[in-house]
Amino acid sequence: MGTEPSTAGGLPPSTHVAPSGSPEIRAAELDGLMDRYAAGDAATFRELHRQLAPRLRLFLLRLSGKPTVADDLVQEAFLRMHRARGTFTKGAAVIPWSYAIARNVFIDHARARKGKDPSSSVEDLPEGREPRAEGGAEPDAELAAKQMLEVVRATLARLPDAHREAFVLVRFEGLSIAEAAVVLDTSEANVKVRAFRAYEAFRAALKEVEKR
Amino acid sequence: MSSPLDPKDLLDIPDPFAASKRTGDPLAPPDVSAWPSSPTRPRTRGVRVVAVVAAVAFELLLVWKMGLRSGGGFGPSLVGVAVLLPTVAVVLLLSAVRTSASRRGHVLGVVALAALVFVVTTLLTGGEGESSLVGMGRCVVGTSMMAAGPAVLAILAMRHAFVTGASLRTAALGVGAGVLAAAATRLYCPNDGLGHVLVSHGLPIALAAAFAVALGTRVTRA
Repeated sequence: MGTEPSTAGGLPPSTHVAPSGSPEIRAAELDGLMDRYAAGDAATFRELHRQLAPRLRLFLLRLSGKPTVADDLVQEAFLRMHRARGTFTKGAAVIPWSYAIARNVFIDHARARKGKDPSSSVEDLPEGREPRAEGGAEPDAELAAKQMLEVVRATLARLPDAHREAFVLVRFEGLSIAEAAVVLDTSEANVKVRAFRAYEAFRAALKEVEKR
Repeated sequence: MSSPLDPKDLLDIPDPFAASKRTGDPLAPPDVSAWPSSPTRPRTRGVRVVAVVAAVAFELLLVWKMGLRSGGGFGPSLVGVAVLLPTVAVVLLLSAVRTSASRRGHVLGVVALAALVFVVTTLLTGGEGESSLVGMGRCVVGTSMMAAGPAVLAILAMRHAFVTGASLRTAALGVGAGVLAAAATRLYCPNDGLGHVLVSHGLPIALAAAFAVALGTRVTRA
């Protein structure tokens, strides 16, 4: 069919893989890449993956809480993006589109796992913790910061899905309210309310820690 | 927090996964040559045009098989509107992804518009007619069958197209197919009774929407 992604033509095949923490995505450039991929320029896939994968992986990690699960889900998300590329509207924004697909992947994963492993949750994740200082006592400030992160992580795991998604997208993923509304297929007002409910839960949890 | 609507206030909640940004392993790109081929945008557009043409042809073929009613009695504009409506619905559904407006409201608007057009055109073109259970049953079955073809075509043409609200959008496709079938039914069904048209030709619109959701949501969802 001549539509298969390949390493020939267009952009040169990139062997460089960006570290997951420094995507520095320029939205317009990404939109252009996706436009070209949707139009059939298969060589842009590598660059799209290089720029989008770290962001989607972190998003899926924040939703699932498990690095191995996030790695699997991000691959599934890219497979679905590849499958749906012909439906990507010219001039549309790729970031909300890709986040919405990643969210669908997570929802399907959560549905499939429901009832299979009730013990699994965000709380048993090994990633996201700061590396432990070697030997001896930790400074108070460092300990307090760690404790705060633990509380946030545990609270995040307990939040209703709708609140967690809205909060993660707006606070951690850096999406605008409008973009988050596109991802969640709801109104901007609803996104704000959900994010605020999550914020209230975090504030209450942190207040409890301060009281101790 | 000054206002529940100010996202800047969320910044005082620290990111528990911030360390993952620094320590996460690089993600190697997958071997996409091993993946199944996917249609490009030009091909997808072509498939959709073919689907619309095929849906209209399917309706006309069935009407021809059933035999055109004698003496007219239906507004010619009805057919034009009914053919145009699914096309407009598809265009609106596609453009909904780009807008920041309420997408759910967008789709619901299309569905409401389709229902309104059906009711108004029925009221304008309806007239005398006997209602019998046999006649109604025949039209419900016939119109449902006429809606099934376009619904299947629409679902296939919109494969993996809906990243959000797939059920609602697929239902809208079914409504579009149902309205098209209801309009086509007027071309052969001689019964212009308001009750007959609204129930026997209108019920299949709802059935087509349910059929599309049950059969198509998994297909149309990205």
